[in-house]
Amino acid sequence: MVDVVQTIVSGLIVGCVYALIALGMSLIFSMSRVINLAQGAFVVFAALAAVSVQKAAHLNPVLLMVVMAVIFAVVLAVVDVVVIRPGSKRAGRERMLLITVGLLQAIGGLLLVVWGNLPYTMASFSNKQSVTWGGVKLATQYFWIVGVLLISVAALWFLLQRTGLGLTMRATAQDPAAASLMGVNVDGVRLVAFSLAGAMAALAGTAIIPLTFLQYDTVVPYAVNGFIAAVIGGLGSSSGAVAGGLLLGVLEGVFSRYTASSTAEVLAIGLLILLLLVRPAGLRGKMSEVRR
Amino acid sequence: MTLLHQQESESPEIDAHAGTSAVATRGRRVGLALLGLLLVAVPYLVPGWLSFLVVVGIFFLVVLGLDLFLGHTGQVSLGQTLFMALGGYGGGILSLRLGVPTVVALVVMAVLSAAVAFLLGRSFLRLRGYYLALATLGLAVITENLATGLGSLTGGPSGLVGVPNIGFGSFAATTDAANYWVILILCAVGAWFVSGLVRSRTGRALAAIASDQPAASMLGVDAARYKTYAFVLAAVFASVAGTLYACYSRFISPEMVGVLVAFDLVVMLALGGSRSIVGPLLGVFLLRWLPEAGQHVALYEPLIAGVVLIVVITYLPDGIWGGIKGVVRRVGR
Amino acid sequence: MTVLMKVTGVSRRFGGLQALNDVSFDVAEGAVRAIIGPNGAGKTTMLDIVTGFTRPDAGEVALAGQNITRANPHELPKQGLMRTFQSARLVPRLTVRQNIMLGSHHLARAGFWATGLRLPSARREEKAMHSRADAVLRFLELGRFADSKAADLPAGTQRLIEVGRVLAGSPRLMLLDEPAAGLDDTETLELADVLRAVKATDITMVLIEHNVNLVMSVSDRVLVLDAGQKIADDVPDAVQKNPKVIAAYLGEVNP
Repeated sequence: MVDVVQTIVSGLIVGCVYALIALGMSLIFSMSRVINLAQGAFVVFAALAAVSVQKAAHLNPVLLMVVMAVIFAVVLAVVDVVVIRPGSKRAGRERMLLITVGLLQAIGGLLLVVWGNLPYTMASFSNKQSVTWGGVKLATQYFWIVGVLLISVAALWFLLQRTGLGLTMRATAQDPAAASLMGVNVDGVRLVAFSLAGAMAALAGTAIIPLTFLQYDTVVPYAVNGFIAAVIGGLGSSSGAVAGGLLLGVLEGVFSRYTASSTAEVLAIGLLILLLLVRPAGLRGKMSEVRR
Repeated sequence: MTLLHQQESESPEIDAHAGTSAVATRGRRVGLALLGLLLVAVPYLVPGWLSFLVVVGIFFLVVLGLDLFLGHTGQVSLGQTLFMALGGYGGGILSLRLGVPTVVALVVMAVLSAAVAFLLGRSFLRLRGYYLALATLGLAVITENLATGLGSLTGGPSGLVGVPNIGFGSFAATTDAANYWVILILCAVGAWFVSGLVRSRTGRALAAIASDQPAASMLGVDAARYKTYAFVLAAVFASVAGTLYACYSRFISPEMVGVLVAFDLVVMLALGGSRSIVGPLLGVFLLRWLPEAGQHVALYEPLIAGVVLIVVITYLPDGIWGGIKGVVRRVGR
Repeated sequence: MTVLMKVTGVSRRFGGLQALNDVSFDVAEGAVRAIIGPNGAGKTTMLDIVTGFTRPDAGEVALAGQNITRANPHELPKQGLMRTFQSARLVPRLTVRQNIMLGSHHLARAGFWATGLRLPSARREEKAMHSRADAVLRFLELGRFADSKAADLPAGTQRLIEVGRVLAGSPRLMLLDEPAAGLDDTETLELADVLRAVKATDITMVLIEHNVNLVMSVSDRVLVLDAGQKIADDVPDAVQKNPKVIAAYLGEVNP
């Protein structure tokens, strides 16, 4: 029993990272109808950057996360202006998806150039490595990751439901073209969405790197799993994105307990594709978008 | 049918390339003849390039099939590596473990891939746009993991080693030149088939599906059927290329059918330019050439490839080849 | 006069909205049948039901005695039913001729293999489709645009090409969805001429239209819908004098 709980908990932690990626993709999709396939790559980018910043500056973890969030909010804003905006003015949805495939490759390539092909990790944020509750061993880093997800979800909820900007964003999410006709500065709203997605990717990357090893080619699994989580959750739905991410994480965790990790990945993704075929709108999405 | 045929006698001068002007057709023929001549001369002109060109030919075959599905029918598949893997691993296992001649293995796996594509198509091709892209990307992820995970069958991460060269009976393509000829012939047949297809009733139906599926169906185009056909054909091309890849390299590994390769295939098509024969060739050539261009470039290769892809897709909707054609047309005016 | 299409008691509800309520009408072979009504009257829903895009909650559509209520859209051209769209939905990357050849898609048979392998049968069919498209272009006097990209032409011309695409399929029944929408007066007159010429070739037409002058000048019988109900079904002159119609539609939109 303890074993099962332990498995589910570690699955949930990985799922938190997927959820944060999916949340960012979903937010960007809502405001621009662009799927940023490269979203997961920024988690790895931020993680490696955090390792370098930490090596140079030895910041306190909270300050480190704030710094990384700010940096990557700016990075994604630049990506929006330089890559996504010119693209979406000229290209349709399918070509936009390919542009973000290019972005994914470019980020992986940039990481290779800057950090080389070695794996990186970092010390845990807290001095105490882990605590044991009822036989279940919890790394203290888990709490940081869960905290990051909770804070992100809460902040996003507050922004969207309780502020004027949020109202504008919700109107844009309904129909970006119509919102633009109504005088909404859609480019501005989109910039905000990208910045928020960048901050969330940075938080996820900074919080997960002490638990794992990341390098330039780990951008692909994160990008792919984030994409899967976002679509399974139902594009444009925040609660769906979180649910999709956690579900994928738990499935991977549970399956990998009983089989090799590659088989676990096959089972998890196979199951989710099956879910997509049976319920193509995802957990929380609308049916009409998906097929005819 | 009677209505169709009664007016046949009215314009006898029409050739089979319906809808294209005579000048364009002549230009195309001259271009094709030149390209053919060049390809035949290559083994004598630059023998050192042969091994590179064999791999280019193999990928060209995959991208050509993908072009039918993505370029002509407008359906994104990020999962063509599944069929490359079926062809590569299937062909390898059949010939290594069961002693089946490689040519027979190639055909068997092509048929099997067609069947798999047909079955998958029935459920997958109802999905639109992103959802199809995601589902097929899932196939690519599953493919790579199965290739790694099914160690007893596939040789695991280190791959299946010792696959025999393509051949039948006493003939085996052991040299680079022999492989080049085999691939050249297959690519030519494939290109001939695809170009016939797209300039016909089938091609128009695919174009109609790509631009507006409900409108296409009101013209009597059974979209589900055509999409399935295009998917099946793309799968067959990928499977044949996969078997050739394994036979030429003498081995096949998960990396050769990995998710990155699945992305690369789409990138090659977008980069070179879809809905043509030269476009995919150009795209494959460029993307395969970049890593070979030297140690110094190798480090920067993924970054350059990514940036080039972004720039080309943003500013050249029909890829590099489309861009070249556009310039030629403007100068010619 | 034989009945080509028979619509019997068709109803359709979308959420709380009764888009169509027990509507019946006939289309006589060789006639031009107009369906008019203010926005939201249910014209588009009726068209979607007839063309297989929407299933009615109740009622039946029959074409030449065959029930087509549950047919798939792509099966209808073979049964002789084809349509145009409110704004022309041509394939932008194909030429005008290729677009028109698409109209005769269902008349040909060559499949994937036959066309890929360029079998003689496929080439013969292709030639026939080609000359048929040219004949249609001559009929519409659009021959000079044959090799232009469809997307490069003005909306009015695209509309006529779409009519040509349907003609290439030699339908028994052609449905036109607001063919005059967005056309200026000259273009509308041109369209009326084309429709009369089409009528002379014995093709039956159902015309969904806002432009009352066009409807009155070309149609033989007019069905008037309002809020999902049939409020009149008569010859044009009588419809124009019908007080219910005047109240619901004619008076407010296009006097």
